[in-house]
Amino acid sequence: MRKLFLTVFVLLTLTLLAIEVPTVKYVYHQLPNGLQIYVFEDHTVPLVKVQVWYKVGSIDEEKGRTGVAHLLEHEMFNGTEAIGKGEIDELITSVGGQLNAGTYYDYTVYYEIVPSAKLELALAIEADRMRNLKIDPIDFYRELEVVKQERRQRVENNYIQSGWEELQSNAFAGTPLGHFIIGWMEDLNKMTHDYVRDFYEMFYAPNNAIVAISGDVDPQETIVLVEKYFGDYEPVEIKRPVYAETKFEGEKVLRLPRITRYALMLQLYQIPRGDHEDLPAIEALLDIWLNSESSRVINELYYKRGMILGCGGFTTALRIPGYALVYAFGYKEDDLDQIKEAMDEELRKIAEEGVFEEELEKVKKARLKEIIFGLKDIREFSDMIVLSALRYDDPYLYKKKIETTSKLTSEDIRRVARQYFLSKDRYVGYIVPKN
Amino acid sequence: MKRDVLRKVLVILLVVLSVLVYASKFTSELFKQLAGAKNKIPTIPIPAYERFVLPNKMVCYIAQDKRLPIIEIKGYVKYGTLNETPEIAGLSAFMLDLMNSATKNRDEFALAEEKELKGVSISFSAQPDYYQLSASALSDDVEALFELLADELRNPEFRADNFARKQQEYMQSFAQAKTQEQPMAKRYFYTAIYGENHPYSFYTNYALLSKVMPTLTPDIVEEFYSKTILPDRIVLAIVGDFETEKVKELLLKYFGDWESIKMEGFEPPKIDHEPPHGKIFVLDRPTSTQAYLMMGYEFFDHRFAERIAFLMANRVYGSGMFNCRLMKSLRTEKGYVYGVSSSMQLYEVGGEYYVTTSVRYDAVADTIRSIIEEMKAIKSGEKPIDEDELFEVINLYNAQFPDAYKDTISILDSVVLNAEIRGRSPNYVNEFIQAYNALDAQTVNDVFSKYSYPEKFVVVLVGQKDRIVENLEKHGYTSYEVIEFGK
Repeated sequence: MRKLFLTVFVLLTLTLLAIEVPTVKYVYHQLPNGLQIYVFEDHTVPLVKVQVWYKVGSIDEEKGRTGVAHLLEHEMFNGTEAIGKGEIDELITSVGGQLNAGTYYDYTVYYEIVPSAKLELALAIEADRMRNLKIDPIDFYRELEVVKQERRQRVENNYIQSGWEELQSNAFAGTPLGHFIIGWMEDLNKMTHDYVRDFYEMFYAPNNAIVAISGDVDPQETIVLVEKYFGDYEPVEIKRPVYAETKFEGEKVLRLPRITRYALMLQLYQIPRGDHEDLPAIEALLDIWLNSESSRVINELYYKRGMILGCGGFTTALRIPGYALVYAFGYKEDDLDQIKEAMDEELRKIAEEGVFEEELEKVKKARLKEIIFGLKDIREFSDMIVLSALRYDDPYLYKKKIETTSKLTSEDIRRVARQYFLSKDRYVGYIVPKN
Repeated sequence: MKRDVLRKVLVILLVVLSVLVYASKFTSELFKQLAGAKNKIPTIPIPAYERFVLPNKMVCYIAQDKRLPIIEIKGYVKYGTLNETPEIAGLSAFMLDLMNSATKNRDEFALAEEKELKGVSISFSAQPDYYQLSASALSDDVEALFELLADELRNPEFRADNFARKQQEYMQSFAQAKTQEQPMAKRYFYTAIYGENHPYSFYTNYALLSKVMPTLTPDIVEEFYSKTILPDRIVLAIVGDFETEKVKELLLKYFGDWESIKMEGFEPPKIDHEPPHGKIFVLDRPTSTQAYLMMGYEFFDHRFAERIAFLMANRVYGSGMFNCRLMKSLRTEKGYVYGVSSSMQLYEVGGEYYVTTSVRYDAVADTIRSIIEEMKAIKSGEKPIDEDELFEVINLYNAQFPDAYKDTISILDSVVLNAEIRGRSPNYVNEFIQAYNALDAQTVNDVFSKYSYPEKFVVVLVGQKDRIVENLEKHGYTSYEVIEFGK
């Protein structure tokens, strides 16, 4: 057994600056049924976080069945044959633990944070509900009402979220990103417990999951426990919907009236999947162009011209090609065309003239600080490693990104500016005050 | 043929047997056996620190932590929005924002650029009883951190070109707040609880803030700054990978010659207001697809003697976790809400207690009724908090408390807050742990019964007025005030 353990020492040898980042250590093991296990040992406090990451999210949903991945996440708390309704929560809270879950475009994760002596309880619960979930029709339809309420609260009554949803659904119509994670209300209205069960049986399998344990544990004893509870399950043949692809051509502008007094512009650009070698340069470009407090657009449109209240940009980097969302808050609708042109002009300057060395240094400093401060909490830091393993089968991706960032040049930034942004193949949304 | 039949029977038996064996792996007995544990009462290790007082009476708590090459600062200015009057409502937040934007030595762009090149983060915020500050950097940049922090605290520039632009930004944000659910609810809730003229209601009174903002001038802000941001009002917690003597040198270098000015004492304004207990406000928001609900009443100040017992009882009533009474009733049993929680905020001269949730229109009245009934059930003794419920709360706190204080800056920040701001022991965090562990169900029931007031709830609802009113009327709530959208 011991020979199967692969101990990996991850040394973040950053060449960005003369600071050596401490070592992060984890133990990796894979069961014969395909279940992967990552154990991060951290004895700072007598707690352990148990997570099960499933490689399924809203991009794996079929047309007309949107929201099923997230709805299933809710259902996972309603019990199994051995654990009654509400008892999953009761069992964890009875030992002073906390639990929750989250669904994203390309993964779903469940976690418990419990006293380290109760590791086995958390593992047994996760193992039981991986294959033995009970979906009682009465509980299912009550939980469906909760999810609809969540949609109203988080999306429909939020002017940014609802405008973003409309823009994204137009931009990516007919593709996995054509709907938000929570799904459309009309699809939720016709969801059945039988369909949710089929979805569960297809995707909740050991060969489609990673168990990650971080905290006050012994890695070898932990892996023995994982094998005890998950080892009997058979792998399942995972069939995902065939992904449609889209390519933005030209600029399309949507006017999106909402209850707001701000005028907000959103722009969607297509980017490659999250492990593509261009991602660090794209993220650096967004910082230099928009995000930094001394960015090109902030300097020109906020400090000098007072046209915007703020701006920014971020990537939605996934295991399929994703998008970059760029935004700016203006004072009134009439300003948005001008703001868009001025932002384009700043991008053009970067694409044609490149960036200053100081601008690259700021990006590198920010990444280094982010990584070192991230190490304050190994339980949080481990998420980045495990998620990269789940998405790309590459737990070391963050190291590659750091190395790539450390070597970024002005030419790299110019190239990604031209390749992904300058052509104006994009969807633009104007979220404006509704009369 | 017979052999085939026998083979099939054998296969079926094996399948059934394997299912039985498999099914027996997870049983309710197994989970009971694995659960059940009383966690140890934790002790938060207070780090070795030095209380270093500068000649100008600025107080600094300094502790080393060499686990990572970083330095972190948390701090307080003993002056809060409580000190504002209606004529200068909102000035604290505006001034702090300007302080973090430009100094006499650096314009906006230069300040932002230098902070980013050095990896220095600084933020300020205005709280009711104090201003808070937070700063950080990598340890190699320790000097830049102190130099930039001192520049912002000591040399802010209020006459820069950004003054008018910042005013415009704030005006826009106040207009925006009047259109969004939670700010709309808070505006009416806090005014109802504290009255129009008490500072605790100012920061959500967007009409007042919109009236004051255009009257502010650089002179007014400068004068306010000179009376508020003084070294003898500042206390810092400084933690990181450094030598203490080096940090003391830097403090003296950048803050040592900052002179304090003798200021007159301040008498905090008393709350002289009778809330409209039992009143329902319906705020119209035409496109909302559900109603936002905030309901509560005035409560005690931070000296409330039974605070810890009440806190534990309130966790049972409305912690927001799945095992609290409100979540069990409104989410698990009825499916009305996604989340619901109750909170108390205790300040220098008063406080508030409130419940918040979002609820579909056809369940508005029943949700209000359930929130009140669940409170009454504990208060009256009909459904008292039992030992198991209290045990769960205490057990959770004992397990998770060390996590909340696992980094040295969090512990030292708590030492500073309690010792320097709240007038408690520096070891208060451990006294708090001992205090909640000494509670029993009888005590928390008695405290919750004594200090919960179901008849006092002021209810604020935001959403489509017709749909809210229809549901209220249908369930017998006929007294309410409708506020039109934008008012």
